[in-house]
Amino acid sequence: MRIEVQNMTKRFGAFTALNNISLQVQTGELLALLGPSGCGKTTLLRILAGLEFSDAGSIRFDGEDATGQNVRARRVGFVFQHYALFRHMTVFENIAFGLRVRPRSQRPARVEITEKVTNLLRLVKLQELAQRYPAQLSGGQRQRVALARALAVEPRVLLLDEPFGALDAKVRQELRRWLRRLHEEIHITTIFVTHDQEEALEVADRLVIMNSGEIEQIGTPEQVYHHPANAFVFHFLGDVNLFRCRTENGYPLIIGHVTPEQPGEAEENVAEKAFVRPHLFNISTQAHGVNEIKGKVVHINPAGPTVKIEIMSEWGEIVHAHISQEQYAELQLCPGAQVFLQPKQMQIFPD
Amino acid sequence: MRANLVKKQRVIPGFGLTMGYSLLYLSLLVLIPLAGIFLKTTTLSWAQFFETVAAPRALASYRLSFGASAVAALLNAFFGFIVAWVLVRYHFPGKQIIDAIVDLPFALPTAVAGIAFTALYTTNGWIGRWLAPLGIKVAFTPVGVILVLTFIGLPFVVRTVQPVLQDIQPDIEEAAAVLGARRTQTFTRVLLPMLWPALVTGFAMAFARAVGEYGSVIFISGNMPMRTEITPLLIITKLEQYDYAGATALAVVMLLVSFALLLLINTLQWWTRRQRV
Repeated sequence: MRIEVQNMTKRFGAFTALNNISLQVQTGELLALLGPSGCGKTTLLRILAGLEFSDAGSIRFDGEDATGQNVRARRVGFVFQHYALFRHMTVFENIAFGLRVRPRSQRPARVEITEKVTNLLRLVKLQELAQRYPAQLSGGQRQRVALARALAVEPRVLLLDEPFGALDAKVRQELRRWLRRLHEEIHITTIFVTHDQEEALEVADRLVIMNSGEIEQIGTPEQVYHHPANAFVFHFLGDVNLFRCRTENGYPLIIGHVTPEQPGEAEENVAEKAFVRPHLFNISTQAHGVNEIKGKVVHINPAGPTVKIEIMSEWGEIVHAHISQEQYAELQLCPGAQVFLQPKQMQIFPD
Repeated sequence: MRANLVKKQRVIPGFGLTMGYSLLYLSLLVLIPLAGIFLKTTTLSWAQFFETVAAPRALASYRLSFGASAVAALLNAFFGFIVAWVLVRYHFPGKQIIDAIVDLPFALPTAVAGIAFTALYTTNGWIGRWLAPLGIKVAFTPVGVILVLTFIGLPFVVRTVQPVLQDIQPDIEEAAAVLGARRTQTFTRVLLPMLWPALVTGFAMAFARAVGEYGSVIFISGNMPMRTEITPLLIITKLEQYDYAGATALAVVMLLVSFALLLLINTLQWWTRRQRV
């Protein structure tokens, strides 16, 4: 189903949760609403579900106005952050609930319900646990029950609120790959909310990056990661080092002497922010004389695929640099060593 | 085998001391006095025992005691549920006061409540005088007994349902709504089943409390044999006639019924726990 959101505004008292938001979701798309907590992403999702109503703006489902439609009429599937399973019902009954509460004329026959629930149990790989109660399941299993329950009513769109937020790292990763595969299998329009950029980049077809009630950028993971629209997006999508800089003679300068290779586009002598990702530094123990930041190693964390190094720059700021294990072995760094950092790539945004 | 002999280290010591104290405490307060009742009863022959506990006057008193208690507990289950609902779901000025008032029947001497109700509901009392022309008599009838038993049982259902209702997150109801349930369906299929165990526990406790009530009832019932006489009063009457064995025989009947009720409550609690694990 295609969803159009136009000029939506929502206030809670003096707090503006959504400020004039417009957005289009394509049929069959897997869309992530990404942003820090309090940015309005969950509010937007709840308004789409009909659990909350906007103060201004409109929603269209397949071109048809759904702004004032109540939650039952919208036929959406909603997966809550804390699952919201019915604890007095078995897994089977939880999934069957949406079918059993239908008016008699639309309610499927008993056999059909059983068949449908069994199919869904197979889809979420929980066939053996049909007669268990939610309290007897792990977090990941509960989340899958919640998903199967939402899918049972054949929703036109699936909405997930921080679906993996309450799970531990390992289960989280498994589940999001599984969600990706599931989406490829059933191709239902899906919108999920997350504050985890890694999750959004990995799972979604497109991302909507939000901040304090507004949309900062909409795009594919590739677009938003490599061509961030502004400082917020760049900062939010991964680790960064932030430097104050200003442009002189066409080149942006960090603290007077470090510049990237290319000339900048910014105006002369205007305060700017320069961002460098930690893995985009050349690091050496010898000075080259140009474009470098001199500093002392403060802390080294060699655990993991890359070695994470904290360096105190000569002007007293902590700079994070990630280098490969091979390079680390070559340089033989230890805390206290003097190093020189050359930024390989810099992103300049107006301050 | 050896592993079993190794004493388990606990953070807080004193299991032996506290367990011993608990047993002593329960023995002195509960077990020994109750055993005494059974012992005293054994001075009666089986024939005398049955003659006492199955006398028409005794049977009538059981009917009133257990019947009125059951009706009172049912009323409390219904209205107590509503009070708990209001206290949990809505915010209004004076909520704390209403919350405190619920506990009043716990604190007030029940005799005082009995006298107050009697004064209000006699045919020339503040409320009774308006009911009398309608042909409704409350004081000195079983209706009066039910009334005071409802009063003393009020806190039980409220206090058992309230915390459970508080625990139900709003997303549970939202989930039901998104799945297409109407409000009544959400209530009957989701909320009520979740509250049911607490409601039944509250009902059973209110019922048990009402069965044991004495102070308030004797004022409002009028204590007419065969009509408005409760079993505890009959026991007192027997004591006043120095028929100690007869009094304990009735007490044994009440004790067995109370025990059965407690067993029921515990079974219900166990059943509830099993479902939530």
